[in-house]
Amino acid sequence: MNLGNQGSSFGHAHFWQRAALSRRNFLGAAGGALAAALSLPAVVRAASDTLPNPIPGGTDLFSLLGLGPGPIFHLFLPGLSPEMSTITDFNGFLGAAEILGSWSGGPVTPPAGSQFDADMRFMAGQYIGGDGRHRQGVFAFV
Amino acid sequence: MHDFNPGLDNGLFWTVPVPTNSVNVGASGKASLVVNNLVMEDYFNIVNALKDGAVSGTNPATVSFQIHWAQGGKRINVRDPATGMAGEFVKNSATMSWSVASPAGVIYQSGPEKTSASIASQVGQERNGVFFR
Repeated sequence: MNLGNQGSSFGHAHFWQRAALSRRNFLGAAGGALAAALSLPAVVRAASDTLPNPIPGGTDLFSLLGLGPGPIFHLFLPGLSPEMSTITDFNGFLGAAEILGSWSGGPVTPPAGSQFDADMRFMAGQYIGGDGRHRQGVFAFV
Repeated sequence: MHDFNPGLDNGLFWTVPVPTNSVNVGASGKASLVVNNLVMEDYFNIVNALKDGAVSGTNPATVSFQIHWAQGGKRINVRDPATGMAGEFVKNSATMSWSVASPAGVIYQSGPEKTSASIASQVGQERNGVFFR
């Protein structure tokens, strides 16, 4: 999610450009942790030795962000390609959404008009893992 | 400055396995993705994130989020030989809420889910790679 006071014009090439830094940047000041300790519930570990393989091809995000040419990252951005899956050899349900909204928190008050900008996706179904075996799984692009 | 994502394991771009009950898909595009306390990393900025922490390291964080896709919308069929994918989707709308917590107790959170705004969304069935036909 990107948090900022950006506009809301649509287009996913615009999405990363609009994000200025990235869709997951949280524009908050460092330091100033909350005094109260936070008790976190049991954690879901994102780990697997049977991961799927990434889609072939993708996007040069460094170039898209104006940082010069870089490696290809294995995703396509909405509006630039119909392929929203980030995993290949996949057969199942896919959901994708770009969502804007308000946010708060951290040690500083967000500037007026600040909003998050999230590109979220899921892939649920059959895939072929890196070990070549057919598997079932659920994956989130976060 | 913070930048939270799950990293680039196995070449997958910010894609991680989640519990099988995280996703529910209903009829006509209705769906949900609900994940609690997903372990992620704070990469601080996008460049460090795209270099998987090689520039300035990472800090742990946990993220919880829920997304709901609404039922109904325009149905589309897609077939793209260029990327080797095909699918049938419903173009609909979606809402989202989320929270992020660091081990130090710093919390960021969205406004209520109903206040979020859907820019674009879709739910459907896809096949790619060896399943593309």
